[in-house]
Amino acid sequence: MREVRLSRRQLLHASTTLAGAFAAGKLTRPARAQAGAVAAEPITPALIEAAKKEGKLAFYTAMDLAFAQRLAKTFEEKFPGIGVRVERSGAERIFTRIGQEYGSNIHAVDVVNTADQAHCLVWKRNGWLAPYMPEEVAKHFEPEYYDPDALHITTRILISPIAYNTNLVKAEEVPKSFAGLLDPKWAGKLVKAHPAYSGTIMNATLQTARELGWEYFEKLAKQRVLQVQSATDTPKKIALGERAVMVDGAGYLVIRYKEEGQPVEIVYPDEGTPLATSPSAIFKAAPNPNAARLFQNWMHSREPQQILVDWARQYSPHRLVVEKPGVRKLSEIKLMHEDPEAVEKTGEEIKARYAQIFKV
Amino acid sequence: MTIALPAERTAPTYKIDLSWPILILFAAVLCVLILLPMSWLIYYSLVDRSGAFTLDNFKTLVTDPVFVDPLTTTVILATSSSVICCAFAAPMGWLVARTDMPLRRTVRALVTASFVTPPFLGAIAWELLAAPNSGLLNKVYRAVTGAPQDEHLFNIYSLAGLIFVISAYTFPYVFVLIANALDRIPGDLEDASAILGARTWTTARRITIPLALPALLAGAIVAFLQAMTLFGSPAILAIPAGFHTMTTKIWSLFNYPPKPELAAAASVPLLVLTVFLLRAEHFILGRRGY
Repeated sequence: MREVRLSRRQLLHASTTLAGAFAAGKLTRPARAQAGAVAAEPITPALIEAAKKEGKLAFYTAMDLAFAQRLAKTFEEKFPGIGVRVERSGAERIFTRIGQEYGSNIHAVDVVNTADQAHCLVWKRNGWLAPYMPEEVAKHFEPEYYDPDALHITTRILISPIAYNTNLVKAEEVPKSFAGLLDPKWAGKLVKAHPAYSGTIMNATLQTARELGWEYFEKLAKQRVLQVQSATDTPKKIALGERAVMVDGAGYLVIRYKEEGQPVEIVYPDEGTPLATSPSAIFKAAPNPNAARLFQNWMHSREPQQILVDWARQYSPHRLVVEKPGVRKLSEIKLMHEDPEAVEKTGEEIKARYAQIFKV
Repeated sequence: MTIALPAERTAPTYKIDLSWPILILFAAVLCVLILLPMSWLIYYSLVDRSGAFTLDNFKTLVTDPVFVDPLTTTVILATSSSVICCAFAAPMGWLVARTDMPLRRTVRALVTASFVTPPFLGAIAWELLAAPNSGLLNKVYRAVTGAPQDEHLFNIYSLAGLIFVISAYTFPYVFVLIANALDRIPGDLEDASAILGARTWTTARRITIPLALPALLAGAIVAFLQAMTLFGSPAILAIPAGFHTMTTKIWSLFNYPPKPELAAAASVPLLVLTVFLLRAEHFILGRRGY
């Protein structure tokens, strides 16, 4: 009898605390905008205080690990007291993971950065994202780089070019186009990443298949391509000298390695370079909503975007950011056209067809 | 004269017999840990997306080459690995436990080091050593023989490479089982055999091996199961080589949108193989355990 009475009191206590926390959470959330446009919000001391009270943040990201950790460390130094937990994986894997977590009612993720716009389309449709418009984004980003309902913002722009090892490929033999890679002399010398893991490669596969047809991939499969998972693996493999040419992969890593002195060089293919814009979003059910908003706001401000360009060597949508000399500006590259709706609709089919052609 | 002993005052024992509740507790824990996941697996393999009963998952498993190839590869992989492990670890165990070979302790220590190395890490290490173009061993080979850039001695991105790497990190299981078993077996029978005039090989063949057979079989089965269920090494070496094993195939089925029914059906052969092997061991050994 005594046990029953105690447990009921404990239950009451717990539910009251829970309700109180829920109410407190609702009160500290920044003011909602009117219907239609979402008001642009700067980083206010109130937001910083509320974020510090939460004290932590879960960031699921498709950024390469070095940059993600650098970003997290810079954030922790700027706003001490907020610990950032970085979970890095390929964009498609992150999408699967979030889907599984939400399917089991686990709301662990606060901010997500994915290399596949199609994911944001799905999350938007499921109603999982929270609208939030940082002031700097409203001021300095082109409208094409954020969602009209402020549910997601493009954080970085990725390209997936061809690249080669300068020690293994003579200057006159350098491949200039995707079609050029089908030449028998490249058999056994190519390395490629997988669209089931990487969002960049998923976009690249859709765009290449659209421009060159699936027969291109069928012919490419006969070249005994080394199949790796991540778009960050292919630059590593050519820098190591394991293969001579990468068919697709993270262009920014090639630029980074080249500037470090490794023997790699980038090639912008004649047919166009595949493009993937990488959006970030905050989840409605985020356990640390204020820290999430602070991080999202800070990540799109001038300083981290400049780190993105200077250190990570990626392209930024922020208008005030200064591009380093020696790298082709985004406007000077012939880009393929991005199509997130098509990726969302045909993503499963692309993965299945790819697995059938390349056997893995 | 009779002395009457004082009547023994037996205090009433109110000790509760704890053996039954503990047994039930353990049984419950085992049920939750083992029966629950397995029955979930069987359930998922027999239903389709909507929850209706279907045998289609198993039909796909045995007809679609996308699944049959990895299954065949896994069986070949596990069998070869098990045979290689036994072939290497058994003589090594005998040498270390039964002879006066020098450096016995060093060999034991090195094998233990291999035991504690995660196979995943080992696969990466061998990738650095034996990748066809950038691997150190191949670079040395090219430097020594002057072979052109395209030639290589070892290609770790192949089924043979995968079998080698898996065996290299699974043989410690067999070694430890055999070395410990041989340590425990007293040497009297072998001494008797030597006294009666048998040569070393005859003794080994007719006395030591039958005595060590339970350990050898147990080791072979452990090596088979370990090779069959490894994920890290195949993920690193098989996928770049262009083939799947059953474990990497099951993993790939969880790409969005996940297909847990097919994944569950794909796990059932692994389960059946395990049960079959354990029954086979029981049949061969009977109740002999030594």
